[in-house]
Amino acid sequence: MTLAPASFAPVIAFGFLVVLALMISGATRKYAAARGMD
Amino acid sequence: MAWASASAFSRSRCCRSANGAKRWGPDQLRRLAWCAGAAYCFLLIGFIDDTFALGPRAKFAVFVVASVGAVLAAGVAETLPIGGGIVLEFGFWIGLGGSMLWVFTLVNCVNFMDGANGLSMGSTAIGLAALGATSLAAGATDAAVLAFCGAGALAGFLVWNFPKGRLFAGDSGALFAGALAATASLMAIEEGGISPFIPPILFFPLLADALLTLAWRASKKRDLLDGHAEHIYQIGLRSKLKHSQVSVAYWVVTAIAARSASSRPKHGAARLRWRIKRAR
Repeated sequence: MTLAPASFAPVIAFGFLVVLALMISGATRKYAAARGMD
Repeated sequence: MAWASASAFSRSRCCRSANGAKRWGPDQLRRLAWCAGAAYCFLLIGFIDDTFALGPRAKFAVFVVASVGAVLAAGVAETLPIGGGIVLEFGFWIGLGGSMLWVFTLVNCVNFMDGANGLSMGSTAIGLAALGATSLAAGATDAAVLAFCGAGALAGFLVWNFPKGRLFAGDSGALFAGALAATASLMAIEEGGISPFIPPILFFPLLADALLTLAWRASKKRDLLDGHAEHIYQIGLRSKLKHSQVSVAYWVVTAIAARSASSRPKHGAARLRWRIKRAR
């Protein structure tokens, strides 16, 4: 991947990471709630 | 330690500038001094908080003021390129607000995440090393000096902090490291023209855990200024993972995120103002 001039790559990379973080965070909180750790 | 290293490295760069390398002079040294000074302000705030326990509202106000100072020292990001040649121009005041929010957020996130041996300081060190490499590639020498010195200092600290926790950063160290990372990022944006999306990618795991936990607590209508143990990494620790396992997992994710932002970082369109230089 390249973060070249005028490239959408930084925005796409950032957006991808945000979606990934939301998924991991949601799954972890469900895991914690199921085990009474929240 | 970071400041001493920065000064030494800066002087060496000044000598080399006579041989045709990028010109380095008193302006750059002064700028580094302002940025390091801003980081030391946060260290002092952390020290005072550790000693006298400032209230959350007082701490919030002091952080806002210190963040504005750090932005004025490092540079105001007034533009946001989003690709395809589209650059959003915000002007000085909105740029100042956005840059201040970046410093405020990163400083606090690094501090909030400093709850497992090596996690926050190690992730910050990796992010700073990547920021240094990105800055060098973009020709932002000032930012690279600050970032590499910060990464080196944190690596030295980690020898004592990881994995057995023989030394802790405390509020002072965490706020200092966060401020160093935030100001170096602003310098890299201003000096090297890197995309403002790159620094958040470099420190993404710290930001994501802290901010998503904050959002989750807000959704549960809990007081956001109260202390808590509801971060993702704290759930990991409660599920009997070792500090070292959790920390290494965050380091790996930080390194992967940093790698994704490490090649050809210039966006070439952001024009940012260095307020200290303009004011003189």
